[in-house]
This record gives sequence, C-alpha cells and structure tokens, in this order.
Amino acid sequence: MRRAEKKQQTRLKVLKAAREMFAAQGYERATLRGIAQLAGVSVGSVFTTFESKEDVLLAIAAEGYDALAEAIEAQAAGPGSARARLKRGFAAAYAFEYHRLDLLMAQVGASWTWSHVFEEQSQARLARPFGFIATLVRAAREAGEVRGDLDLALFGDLMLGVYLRNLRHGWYRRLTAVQMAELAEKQIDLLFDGAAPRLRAGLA
Amino acid sequence: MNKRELSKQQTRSKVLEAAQTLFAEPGYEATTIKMIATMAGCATGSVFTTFKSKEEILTAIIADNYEAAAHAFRAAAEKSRGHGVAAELKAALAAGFELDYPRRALVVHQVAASWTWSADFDARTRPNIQGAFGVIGQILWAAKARGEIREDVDLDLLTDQVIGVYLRCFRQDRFTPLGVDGMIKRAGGHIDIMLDGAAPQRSQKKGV
Repeated sequence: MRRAEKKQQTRLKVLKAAREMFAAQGYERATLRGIAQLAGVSVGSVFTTFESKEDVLLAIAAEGYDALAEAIEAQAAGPGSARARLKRGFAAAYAFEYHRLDLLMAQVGASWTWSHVFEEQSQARLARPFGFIATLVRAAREAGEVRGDLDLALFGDLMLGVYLRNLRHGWYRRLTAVQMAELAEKQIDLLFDGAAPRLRAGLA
Repeated sequence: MNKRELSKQQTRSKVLEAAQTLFAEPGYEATTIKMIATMAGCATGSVFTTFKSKEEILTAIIADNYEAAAHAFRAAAEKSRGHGVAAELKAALAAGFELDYPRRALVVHQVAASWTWSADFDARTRPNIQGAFGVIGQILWAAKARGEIREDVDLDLLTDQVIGVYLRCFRQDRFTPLGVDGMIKRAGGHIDIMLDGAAPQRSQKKGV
C-alpha cells in the first residue's frame, strides 16, 4: 500500500512539474530530466510511471477529458437542429480548453509525428469528448439536415479538422474563446450548406 | 559570380539538402546545426556564415518548397481550366500530392513544428505559405467571378479549409497509409462536400 501511495505521489508531482515545464518552454524543448528535477524526484522514478515524454503529455491532456466531455454534452444535448447543437458543442469545447491552449498546441503538434501506439491511445481517449461529432452528424442525416448519400465519415472528419485548425488560429491570432466559436460557426455553416439537400435548401 | 560567392552558394545548397533530410528524420526539433554541418560536409562555422539559426534554415526550406508547390498547383489548375472549380481544385491538390509525397516526412515534421513555433516565426513564415495556397484562393476567386460560388461565401475561410484538407491528408497517410492515389481520392471527397455547399443554390434549384 505504502509503495503504491508513493508511486501515486511521484505521478502527481511529475504531472504538476510537466504542466509547468510544457507551459514555460513548450513541449519539444522540455526534457524528462528537467521535469524530474523540477518535481524533485529521480529520473528513474519518472520512468517507473511513464514510458516517455509523450506518455506524460497524453496523461496531462487526458486529465480534463471527462470534464470536457461533460461540458460539451451538456451543450450538445439540448434542443435545436444537429447543426446548432454542433456549434454549441464546439463553443463549449473552446470555452473549456481556452485556458490551456498552449498545452493543446503542443499536443496537436506532437500528434503529427508520434508513434502508432500513441495515436491509438490518443484516439481511444478522445473518443468520448469528440464522439459528439459523429453522433450529431448521424442525427443530422436522420433529421434530413444533410443529404442521404453524404459520406458521414468524411463530413465528420472535416468538422474535426475545423475544430483543430481553429485552435491554431486562436493561438496565433490571439482570438478569444468566443471568437474561435464564431469562426467555427461560419465554417460549420459553410460545410452544412454544402451538405444540405438541394431542394430543401432551395425551398428555405 | 566570383569564386567566393560560388563557394558560398555551394555551401548553401549542401546545407539545405542536409537539413531537409534531417528535418524529415529525426525531425526539426531533434536536429542540431552541428548535425547539419556534419552531413553537409562543412564546418559548423560556415553554416553560420549563411544562416543565422536553425529557424532561418527552416524558413529557407519552407520558402523553396512552397514556391515549388505553388508552381505545381498553378500549372495543374491551368490545365483543367474550363472544367469547373471542383476539377481545378482537385487537379491542383493532386499535383501537390505528387510533388510532396516523396518528401512527406518533411511535410509532417514541418506541420508538427508549425504548431509550436513562435508567433514571430509564424508571422514571418505566413507569406510563403500564403503564397503557395494563394493559388488556391485565386482559383476560388475566379470561380466566384464566374458564378460557380455563391456571392456570400467567405473565400478566405474556404481557402483555409482547403489548406486544412490538403495538410491533414499527410497526417492521415502517416497513420493509415493512403499513398498518392488515396490522398487524391480523400481530398477529392472533401472538396466535393465543401463545394456543394459553396455552389449557388438558387441556380441549382432552377436547374432542377
């Protein structure tokens, strides 16, 4: 029991130090050695809990995922069209993630080059918070908001691309969470109006 | 060009070639100037007479590569002119995939770096990137002028979405290999969805 407690303490110390380190010098420049030093633990003991720096990053990013999922679901579950609910889901996600945009930037950057193992783990962890996109895209088809022959996987991927790219715009253009959500609204409209059935759109 | 300028020019191209290889593997962050100098077969000092920093080398590579990409985009789009905006866009991106696929590792590492580099560097690099993708913007502007895209569509936003689609294909390929054909097909599907949205719906309705 004592040993497990100690391991858990080390884990928490490492995560706290890593959050500070990643924020201060960016993910790429931070080293496990430096994180261990800041945490006041040995490098060896970091490795008993985490396999690599990527592993630490994934653990930190995943910390908020349950709360993020709840924030999104609370907004996305409400009344309105699937399109409106998607917009609210995006807005909730930006509002939630805004305070740790720097960490997300590091995570998305690392996600372009990390290993297949990490990609799988990351996909599994992201499944809940971002599952709302697939759910609402399906709902949109059931409600006739999009064409019956629309490739929902491609459409959902475009939505996720919009979500991620706006994080980058938000960071470099110094947008607020609200501005990011407004940008996403325009993009979602652009994608939906493309996907909307012609006749329905024509009648509107 | 005198002997000294020639030698400097040679060093420059050797350094850029070595850096392209190293930025693709082990990647931009893991590469040092020393490693670049060793691979280029020159002294670390002579790298510094041409480039002030590693970032400056990356800027030069980005500028060269995006210029090549812009050229490929434009040439391909011109060939399919008259076949509609979707055909032009797809041809442009296909030419880009053909060009960039052999150096996909570099593209992936460059995009990875683009998420963490400084705001200052982002501002300096933007003109190069916008130069290449500006061709995409021009295709869209011309299409709007022809009435193939609705008047109220924000073309900057649409251009940005096309860039996102293009780059994300490289990430997809890394984890689920698509190959050039797979990337062309995937981007084509995305473009169809985006444009059917951007197409004028009224004239479409009249046509029905």
